[in-house]
Parts: sequence; C-alpha cells; structure tokens
Amino acid sequence: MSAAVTVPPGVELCHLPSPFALRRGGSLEGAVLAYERQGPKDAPVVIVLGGISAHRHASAHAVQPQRGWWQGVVGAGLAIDTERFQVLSFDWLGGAGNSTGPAQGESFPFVDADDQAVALWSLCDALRIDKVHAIVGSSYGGMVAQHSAAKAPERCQRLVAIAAAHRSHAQASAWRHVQRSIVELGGASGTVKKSLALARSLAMTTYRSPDELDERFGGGFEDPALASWLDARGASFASEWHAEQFLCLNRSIDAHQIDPRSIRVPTWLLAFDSDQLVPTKDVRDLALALPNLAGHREHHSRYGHDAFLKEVAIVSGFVTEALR
Amino acid sequence: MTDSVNPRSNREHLVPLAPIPGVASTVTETAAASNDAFLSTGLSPGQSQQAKPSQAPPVTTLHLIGPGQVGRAFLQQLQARQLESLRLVAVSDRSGTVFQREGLAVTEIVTHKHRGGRLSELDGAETIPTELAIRLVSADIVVDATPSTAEDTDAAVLRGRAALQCGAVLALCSKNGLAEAAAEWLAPATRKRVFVNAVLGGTGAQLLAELDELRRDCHGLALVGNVTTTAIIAAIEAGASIEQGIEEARRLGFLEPDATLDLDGSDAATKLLCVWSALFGSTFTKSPGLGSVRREDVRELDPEVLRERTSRGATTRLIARGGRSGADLRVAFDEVALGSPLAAPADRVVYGYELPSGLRVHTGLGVGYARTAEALWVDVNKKLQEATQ
Repeated sequence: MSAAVTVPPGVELCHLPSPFALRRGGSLEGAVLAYERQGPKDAPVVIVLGGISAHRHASAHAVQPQRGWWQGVVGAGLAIDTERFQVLSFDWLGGAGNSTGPAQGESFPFVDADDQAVALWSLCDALRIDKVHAIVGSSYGGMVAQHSAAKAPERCQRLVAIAAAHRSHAQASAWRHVQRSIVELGGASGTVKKSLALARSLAMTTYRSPDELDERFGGGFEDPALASWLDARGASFASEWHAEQFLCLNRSIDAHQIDPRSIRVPTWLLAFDSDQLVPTKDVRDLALALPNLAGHREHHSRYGHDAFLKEVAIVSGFVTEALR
Repeated sequence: MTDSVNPRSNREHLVPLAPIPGVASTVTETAAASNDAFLSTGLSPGQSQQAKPSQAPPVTTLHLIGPGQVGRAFLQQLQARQLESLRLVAVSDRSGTVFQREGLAVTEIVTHKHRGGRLSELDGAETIPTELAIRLVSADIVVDATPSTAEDTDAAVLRGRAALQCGAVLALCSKNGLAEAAAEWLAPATRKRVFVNAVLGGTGAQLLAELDELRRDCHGLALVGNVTTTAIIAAIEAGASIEQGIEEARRLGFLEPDATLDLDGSDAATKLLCVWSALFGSTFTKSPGLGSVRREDVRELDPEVLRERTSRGATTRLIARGGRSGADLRVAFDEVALGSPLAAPADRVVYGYELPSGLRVHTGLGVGYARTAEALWVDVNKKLQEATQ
C-alpha cells in the first residue's frame, strides 16, 4: 500500500498507474519513475536508454552539470543534439536510481524489459507526449527500446538499438547466472557486499573483449593491474547498488525476448564485432527478421559490449544518421 | 465497582472470569448495575451465556470503534479473511457498545449499521461512554475508525489513552486524536503500540518505520494528503466547474462524511498536524491547533488560474506545509510542475519529508473507504504477526 523513495533536489518524478501490473506476475503499488529532461520543451522528443547501470542522467546540462553516462553522445551540438531535441531518460524500475525498486533485504517482483516499456509510455502519457521522434537504446536500453517500439508503433517514429538483439544469448545468460549465484551465495553466507563486488568484477570481464584485456593487462601473473582494476570496478558498483537491485535487473536482461516481426517502426541496428554478450550474428538475425529495417551496421571495436560507451565517434555517426 | 476504570484491574477480572464455568453466573447474580454485568461476564447484558470451550485456542481480540463507512469496510474484510487468530469481541458507535467475548456476529452488525441503525438498538448493547467500554472490554487491538471531526477531538484522545492504558495496540484511521496527541502516543513508552497507517492514507507504517531518522533529519513537510481536492482539481483542469468537480469527488467516494472538512482544507490541515506532531511535537509543550494552520478553501479557487497553469505544463495541488518550528503551518493550492513528486494523481496521497539529501516521498494508496480499511489491516496484521511469534 505504500512506497518510499528519496528524490534529490531537481529530480523529476512520475507516478505510475497503480497497481502497475507486471507481465510475469505481481504488481507494483504506488510506483514512481524518476526521469530527466533536457533540451527545448517544444522540440521533438528523443528517448535515451542505457545499460542496467545507466540512469536518467545521460549528460551534463545547465540544471544538472555533473557528467552523464553518455556524455559524448548527448548534448548541445552532439549526435543527440539537445538544441534540436528534447531528451528524456529515466531510472530503471527495480534498479539503483530513484525509481521504485527493491529495498535492501526485501523481495521484489520480476520486472522485465516489457514492463519497463509500459512504464516508459506511462511517463510519456503523464508528460503529455503523444509521439516521440526516436527511442535510442543501448544494451539493456536497446532491449527496452524494442519492446517500447513494438508496444506503441504509432507513437514512435524510429528505433535505434545499439548492442542489443531480440533475445538474450545463452552464453551471456550463463555468465549472468553465475553472477547471480555468487550474489545469492554471499547473501546466504553473510558476505553479500563482497559477493556483489565479485559478481560485478566477473561482469566486467564480459563487458570487455579478450583482446582489450590482454592489451591492457597482459603483463603476466605478477602484474597486479588487472586484479586492481576488477576489484575497483566491483567495489565501486557495490557501494552504489545493493544485491536485490542487481538481481532484479540481471534477471530482467535474461528474460528479454521479442518477436522481431512485432517491431514495425523503422529500425536502426548497430553491433560490434567483439561484443561477447550480444554477438553480431544475433543482431544480424534480428535485422533479417525485422519488417522495417532502416539501417544495420557492424563495426570493429576492441571494447566488446562496452563499445556503446567507449566508441563515441562510431556511435555518434550512426545515431546522427538515424535521427536525421 | 470503582476499580472499573483501572485497566489492570479490569484485565485481571475479565480474563480469568470469562472462561471458568460457574464463576460468571455467580458474579452476574451479584452484579447490580449493568456496567457490572458487562464487566463481570464478558457479555453485553441480556445476551445469553454460551458454552465455552474448555481450552480455547489463543486468539487476538479486537474492539472496533466507529462502524461507519471505513469501519464497515473493515468488518467486511475481516469476514472475508476468516482469521481464526483474530476475534471481533466488541464494536462501539456513538450510541453504545456491543460486546461478546466469544466473538460477535459481523454480518448482523454490518447490516444493522448499513440500514442506519444504532448499536444501542441491538439486544444487549451497553450505552456507556466508549472510553469506558474500551477499558471494560480490554481487547488486544483497538481500531479507532470514527469519522474525524473537530468536536470529537477530546473524546478521541480519551479513547486512545484508554486503549493504551489497557495495554492494547491502537490502530487508528481517525485523525483528530492523533493530531492532538501524536507526540504523547508516539513517545518511547507507547510508540510500539500505536499504528497510524490508515490515518495517513497508507503511508503511516512507512512513517513509523523511519520515525527516528525523520525526527532527527527532517526540516520540513510537504504533504498532498487530501485526494478529494486532487480529484476536484483534475476535473477543473479538464474543463469542469468547481461544483462539478465536487460532484466528481463525491462520485469517486472521496468526500468525508462532513464534506466541509475536505473543502475548507481542514482535513489536509489535520493530517499536517498529525505528522508535524509525530515528528516535532515532543519538543513543544503544546501542539498547534487547527486554528494555527492557514488554509485555503477549494470553493474559492479560480478555475481559470488552474487551467492557465495546465496550459503552461504545470498543475495544482493542495499542499500542506510546515517546518520544525510549527510557526508556518499552511495549506494552500500551490502550482507544481508535472514532474514534481507532489503531482500525484487522485488515487494516492504523497507525504514528502524534506531531508538534507532531498525529499523523502511516501506514496500511499489508502484512499476511499475500502482502501483505508485495507491500510488498517497493515497495522492489524503486524499485531497478529507479533502474537504468533
């Protein structure tokens, strides 16, 4: 009957319809979605969605000047030009942001990518946004973008999906299963924070490519740089997330599956050859099955799945073309 | 029976007497006044004795005060739940109390009240002050669901005190007593036995869970606790007149029995006083009264102002605000951005607590009769869980 969130100054909040029914059972009562807008209020709307650790703050702007998670791609004069477009982003349901999510130590219902899509359109309803120029999603955000476009094609003029296919690959699911098992084991043995950091460290190895790791850290067994990097990334994550949030969104990725034929809007796909989580073959299969493919690119990158964050020039060129 | 006002004494009389065959009838013979019979037998006078099981399973007993709309919804939900561990032993309205230690017939009471009847008309009803009935019944849980009116404030405080003095858990959906006595009831000695989830639209459990942190860190309140005005505003924004908006709120079942309380801001102000008193009241010798809260009346709104705000992408809410000092308590129809946490739809309340880290937002869905009753169950279930542990 009650929900609680803490909203930092300046953060905007949308009250979702209640109960907010979830596709895989259960519902959220009194749920809220924290979101952020930048750019002219009367400009065409571009929705920007990132990975599970992304959030509503895509890039710095006058009201929120701190760096965002897609700093080189979103901003004035950039690919997603905040002088031309009104950019809308939100914190994931079930995640570590200011939207409704699991409290520490408490269970939370299963939230899948389709539920996030329903939440997104509810947000647009609340903001009186009838139609969006584009939904641009990367990684988990690309999955949610696909569900969003399929759900309301009349409201979405184009879909841009980066490092995201129409299903979760079994190899990627296997790695995530191990990550969840580590966290669950930590929970059972009273070392949940350490286990969360360890699971994130493991996840980092799947986000990057073997070549990149070898180039950066190939100094041999005695070189502590690799372990230091992994430990630091894990510790940083564990300081901002708690186990239930991680488990919720980690499972949500695994549950992603959509019939490509249901996505009828013009769709742009970008894949990277070193992506271990979303192999180029899966994106190719999606491209072949889409009824309205507008563009499909495969690029070389040494950054693996994280290329959507690191390859700013490639991503920017692709997005600029798609939004034209 | 001068010790009838002594809760400890009551308990000692009632608990052993009721289940012991033979003892009750002996006492009944010697009881001259009806109050004595009520006390001694565990039955309303005139009700027949029933055979008692020799080893009754442990149950939690409940005394409902106020079988109005919310109270009846609560009783219907009680019936639907069929809880063996919870027994309704007494119900009180303004006219009297019916009491049956072995459990009351819920349907009869609901039907009687639904037809507009008074409890004093029922066989065996006792026409004693409710406060006294609370002490005599001495139930484990007292649910106070009386409609909130300013005139009832003193009586509501006495009822709450009586329940707490008897050792009962007090589950409230009546506001006035809490507004007056929150600082007293939520003091360390009794706070674990006072539940306020339903009073605050389903956010009260969250408030109590965070009470220490909020008392320490909260520096201001911003509450949208009156959904009636939110519904009226929504209707006006959609083109309705104020009168049509009020009718819409009535249709949705949001209006208080005395509609004036919703319309003149008293309801929102009382909820503000409840929260203010719970958080900050203990540092003051006297709680501010309703008269110290500046209020705006929805009937004095200019619909064009609201629609102009809508055209600029904003909206309006009746917001109750106040700081720690209590000197600036007010209830006003403020403009809020669509993205404000306070811009909640009419199916929920939002209680905002200003903290250094931002606004702690408690969203509650305990609005309307049925959902308010459901919010009461959150509190009752807590007591039941405790009892089984």
